[in-house]
Amino acid sequence: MNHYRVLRGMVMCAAHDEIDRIHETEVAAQKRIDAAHKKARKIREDADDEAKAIIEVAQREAKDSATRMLSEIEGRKAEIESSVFKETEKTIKKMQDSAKKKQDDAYKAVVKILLGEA
Amino acid sequence: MSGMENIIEIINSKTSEKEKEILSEAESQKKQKLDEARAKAKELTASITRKAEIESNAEVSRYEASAKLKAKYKLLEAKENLIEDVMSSARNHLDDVVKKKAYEKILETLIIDAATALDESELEIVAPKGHSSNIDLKTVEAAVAKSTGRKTNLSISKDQVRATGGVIVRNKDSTRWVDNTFESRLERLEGEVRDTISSTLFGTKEKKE
Repeated sequence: MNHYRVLRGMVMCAAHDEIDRIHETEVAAQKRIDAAHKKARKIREDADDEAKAIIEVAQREAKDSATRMLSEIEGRKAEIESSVFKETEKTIKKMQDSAKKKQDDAYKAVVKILLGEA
Repeated sequence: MSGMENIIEIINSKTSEKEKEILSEAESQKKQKLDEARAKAKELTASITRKAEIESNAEVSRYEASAKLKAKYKLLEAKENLIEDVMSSARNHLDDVVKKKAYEKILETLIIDAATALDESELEIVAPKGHSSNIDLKTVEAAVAKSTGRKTNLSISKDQVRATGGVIVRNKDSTRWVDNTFESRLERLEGEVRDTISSTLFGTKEKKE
């Protein structure tokens, strides 16, 4: 009878140990899951920051490029002004040279009109 | 392996799987976020650049149009100066011609022109001070008769006109007249004169702006 009691006690003790071990394993597993969640959250937060930085950098660079582009307008304006001015001067000179040769004819024609001889 | 060991093994294995799943999902979300950010950055860059290009091109186009307009005005100004040179020479000619013998013939022509337009038998000539002496009434009357085909009596009015040269020819009751003074002709014929100068000098008719 005593042997039986001792054996039963031993069996029950062994079962408790196993339950404890399983419980410990479960606690450890939950900790690992929590850690994984924490790590995942960190990954997402870092991704948000990185994404924000990508957009900010692109925006800054594009704005710099736009500013550069707009500042280059003055150069383009100067080129246009110089080119148009040069072309106009050339046209005027050509027109004046041609007109000067005909000024006397024009003058005679006008005098005729004004004096009623035309 | 005992039953307990099996259970522990299963728990650990499931935990590892879950860990992998959580991290893999996070990594996947990270990749998606970064891809979206890169796409958005690309779009943003293109949009800012395109806007700057449009703005820049528009500004340059406006400037170019303005420069061309200025050039056109400059060209017109140069043409106007050439026209004015001729007009000025013509005005000087009119100032000088009154002192010359040819002025008599000019007055005759202007009187005939006016008399022909008026087509009346009695006409009066109003001339600038001292210019009447250049008019030979008989000769002019004959010329008018030849031009109009009717006899016309001409007389010199006591009135005088303030003008460099030329005459006003009017009927007796001064209800009809032709102002053929130089100043009046210059004003009346300015359009024709400028057109003539323009077409002679530049081969074009003058455009009224």
